[in-house]
Amino acid sequence: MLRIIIKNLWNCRSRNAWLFAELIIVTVLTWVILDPSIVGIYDINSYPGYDPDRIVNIEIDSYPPNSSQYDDEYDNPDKARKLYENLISKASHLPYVESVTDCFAGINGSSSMSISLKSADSADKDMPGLFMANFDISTRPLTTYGLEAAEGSPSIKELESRPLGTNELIITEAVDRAYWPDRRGINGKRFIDPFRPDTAYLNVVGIIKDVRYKAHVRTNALVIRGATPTPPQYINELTLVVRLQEGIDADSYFNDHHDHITEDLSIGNFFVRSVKSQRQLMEEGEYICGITSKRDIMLFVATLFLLNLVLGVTGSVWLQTGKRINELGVLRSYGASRSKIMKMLFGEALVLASAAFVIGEIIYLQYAFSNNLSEGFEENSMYLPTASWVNDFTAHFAIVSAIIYVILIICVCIGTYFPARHASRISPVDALRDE
Amino acid sequence: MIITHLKQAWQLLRQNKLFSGIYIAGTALAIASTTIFAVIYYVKLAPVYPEYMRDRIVTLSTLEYDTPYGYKMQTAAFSYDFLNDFLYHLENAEAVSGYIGNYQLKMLKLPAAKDHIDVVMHMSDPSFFRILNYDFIAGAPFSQSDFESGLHRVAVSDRVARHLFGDPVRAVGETVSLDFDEYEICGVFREGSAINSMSFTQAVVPYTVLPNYMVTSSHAPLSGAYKAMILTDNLAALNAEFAEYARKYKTSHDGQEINFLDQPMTSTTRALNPNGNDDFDIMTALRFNLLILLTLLVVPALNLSGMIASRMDARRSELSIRKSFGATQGRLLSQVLWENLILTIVGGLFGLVLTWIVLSTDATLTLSNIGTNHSIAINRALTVRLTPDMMFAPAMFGFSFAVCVALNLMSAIIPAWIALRRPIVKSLK
Amino acid sequence: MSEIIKLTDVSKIYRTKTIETQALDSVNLDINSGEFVSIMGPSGCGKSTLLNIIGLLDSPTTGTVELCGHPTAGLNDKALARLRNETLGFVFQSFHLIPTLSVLDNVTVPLIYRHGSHNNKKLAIEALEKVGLSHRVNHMPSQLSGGQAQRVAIARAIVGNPSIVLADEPCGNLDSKMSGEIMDLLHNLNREDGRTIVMVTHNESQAKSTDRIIHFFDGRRVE
Repeated sequence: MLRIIIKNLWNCRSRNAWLFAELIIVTVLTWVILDPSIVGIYDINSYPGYDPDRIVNIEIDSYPPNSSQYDDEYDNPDKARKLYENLISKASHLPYVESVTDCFAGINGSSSMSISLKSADSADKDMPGLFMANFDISTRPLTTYGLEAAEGSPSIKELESRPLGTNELIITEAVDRAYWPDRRGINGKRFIDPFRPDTAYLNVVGIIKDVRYKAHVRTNALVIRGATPTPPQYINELTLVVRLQEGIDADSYFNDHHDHITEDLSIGNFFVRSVKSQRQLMEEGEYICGITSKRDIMLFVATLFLLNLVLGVTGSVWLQTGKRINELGVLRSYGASRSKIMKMLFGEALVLASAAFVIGEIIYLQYAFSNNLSEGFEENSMYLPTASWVNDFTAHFAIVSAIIYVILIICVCIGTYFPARHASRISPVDALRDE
Repeated sequence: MIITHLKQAWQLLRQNKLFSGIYIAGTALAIASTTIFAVIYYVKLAPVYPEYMRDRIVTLSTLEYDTPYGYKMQTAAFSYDFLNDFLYHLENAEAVSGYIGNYQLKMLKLPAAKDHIDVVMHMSDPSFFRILNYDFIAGAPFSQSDFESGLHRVAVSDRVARHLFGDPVRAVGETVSLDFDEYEICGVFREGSAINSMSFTQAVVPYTVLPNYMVTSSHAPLSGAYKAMILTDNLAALNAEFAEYARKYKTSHDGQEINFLDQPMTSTTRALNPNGNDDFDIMTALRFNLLILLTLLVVPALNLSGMIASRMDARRSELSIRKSFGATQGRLLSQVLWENLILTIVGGLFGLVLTWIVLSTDATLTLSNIGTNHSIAINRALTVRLTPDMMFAPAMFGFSFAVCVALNLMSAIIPAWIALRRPIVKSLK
Repeated sequence: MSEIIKLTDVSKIYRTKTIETQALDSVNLDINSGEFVSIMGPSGCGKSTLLNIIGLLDSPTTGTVELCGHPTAGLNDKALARLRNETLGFVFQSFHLIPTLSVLDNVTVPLIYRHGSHNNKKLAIEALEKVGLSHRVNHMPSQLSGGQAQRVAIARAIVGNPSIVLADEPCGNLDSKMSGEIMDLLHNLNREDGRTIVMVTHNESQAKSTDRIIHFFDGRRVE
């Protein structure tokens, strides 16, 4: 049957030319549109190195001084400190809470810093960027986020047992491998302080397993520096990062315990502004960087193109089977069953689509050789790369090609189904009379 | 003759329902996608409520400057000192409004109420309402003396007033709590569309209510929380003032430089280059957008061409008959184009309806971020809708019709031309 | 009687990449004004090719064609179209009515392409009256019988008052009764209006009823 299909297609090549051209163009355009979307979707859904479904972020704010609800009693440093400690204590006693940390610039938080560091061992080597987070380690952020120590590093408990100095760093394994590929452990590892390059170093005191600081940025390069705690009387706003017990849904946590959270944590001059799950923060981060919009717009445009393709295939196949009624009648009279007719018509559509796909792929490959494949919507090349199929040209091309081929074939099949079904159901007598 | 073409097109439509349906659907999709694209850009570029003077409004926010400590600082907003010492004294500005940006939704409620609504709030000065033409349906904006005294007055949108009081007019004089701070409502204005992120607001208070509104850090003297809108008729002269300021700053600050990063920015630049790329060129941006438009048309046009080519096949004998009775190539081509135009216009009408449906949904928020690298977080919580003057702008109808004609030409001309080149006799058997 | 159609040494060769077919071979033909001429011959002898060349639907490979004293060689597409519109009317075996136009609109087609044409509707109704179908002006072709469809085609052929009517097997798809009606119609047009009619036919009795029969065989005229 394949031989007949190819012969039919070749003999009617002028009739099929438009659809063929459209299939090629749609293949190329689908690449342009879907490549970054696929990479972006992969990035946001990749395991970030911790379990975000157990993390909730509670944004706490303060009444302004001229508000009628403001209590100036808490201008007193001691009372402010007690209030703050009370707040943390109440947060840790909320339902199903395992651990609480005051962490303003936490993972996927609203602020972040990117930096480029040089190791003391190879100061002349330029390295890609990485994220730097400032954590007050005494609030146990590593435990709250559920991060794990890497081999050769002090344990999380040991790391959190003492304050982290401003000249000390905890780094991820990705950073460790990039700077010291041949040695493990923390001994003797240090960076040149970028703010005081001539005089100071940042010593590595701990290594944790890879974690993605920003969900939509494909890097596990993170260094954690010690932050000086803010005196409580100056704290007007803070973010409490809460680790929930296993099995509790972070997304519905606020709705389920709204009154409890709002009443318990609205103490002194503090009030609860918002409660967001870590997943919501990740989505927000993606949104603020324009990734959500870009991806949604691209998917919108891709849907348009593919809908057009379905319409085009339906129209073309219907019109062409209309002209081939006679031929189909002859086939039926010689014993072809309805399913064989349908298979033949599907086969023609699939062979046409596959041939167009191959040509489209070749065209796009030329472009990809010179401009590279997509890195997603974010500028991931700025940061230390993470080993994944995205960075491997062959694997990337193959995976995205497969996805696009499947989508194309589905569209062509949908477009072919109704006309093929209609054509296969005409009786041979009617078909042969129709001349 | 056009009547005959119309009659024939109607018969074609009736006799070939599937072909017509698919053709109309394909055209509708093409018209909808291009019109949506055009409406979004129209809203970003044309003077729409409340930015009626959009072509005269420029904005300033980001600055880059050298610090005394040897490194460059880039700030997303500037200090009060910069606003008060320089911007408020611009000679080529008709009005200057400093405002603190809407980064976070504010909790608004009646003082005794438990529940609140989240609103977009601006903290600004009286010039805010001089530059943006908000239409007050009750009361008035806060006055200059309110502003200078730091009085707690708020102008709210009609949607907010209606939510709290039922009748917006009744809201004037009432007290509300904004983030637990109490304000008296001085006026109610008609709310605009959240698609205009710079001007969209639901509550405006004087920034002088903040006890520390004048505080500037000595470590970062130009960094702060303020952004500015400037109304001007002479952008060139205004830019010269900024250049002069930069020159004087350098002289008075031991060679430290200030870089305005191609600001103040016009609304056109803001619409077409929202990411502030240094090498922005308007012609390049327009060409890029035209390319997107063409791409949105090319695939449907190919689609329709394929169907028209198949249809031409079936009409070969008809066209040959007409030729044998004296029709020239040009007349027949024009006939085919007219007939297809009818179908295209029907598809275009459906496309317009589809456009209005899409723009009435939350898709508008996503689409309003076309071309941007950053979106405003709070917009996710807002219902972004277009106002009727945006959705039914005459320019939109004109644009859609022009697209119909272009699509018709793109899709019909080549298949028709090819079909008509075939010798008559081959079709007359 | 003057010559209205004159073919001098006309040949037509069809060439593809591999095959060359001589459809007409040095044909000389004169037809006088007002004649009703039949062209007969076996299938593939070149009759339809001859009719197409006379009708300016195709051009000869060699030789000349004159209509109403005007040479047609070298005329461009526009000029040929105008000549066809003003001088010729066609009737085809398969009727070739436009399925999406009503009977009236089908008959009006030649008038649409005529410069300075007025009262198209009136002329079309007159033509339909001549063929006895004025009561079906608003019908669509799919609502007509074979004979009625061919009569509409004849009305379309004569609506512009052409001097020459070319009919390619006009009764080929009709039964004997309808064929008789069509032949009567054609004879009336010839006798009453003085139109020159050239008809290709397989039917000997139809051919014998005409003024002259021209025989063709293998692209050549045989006496």
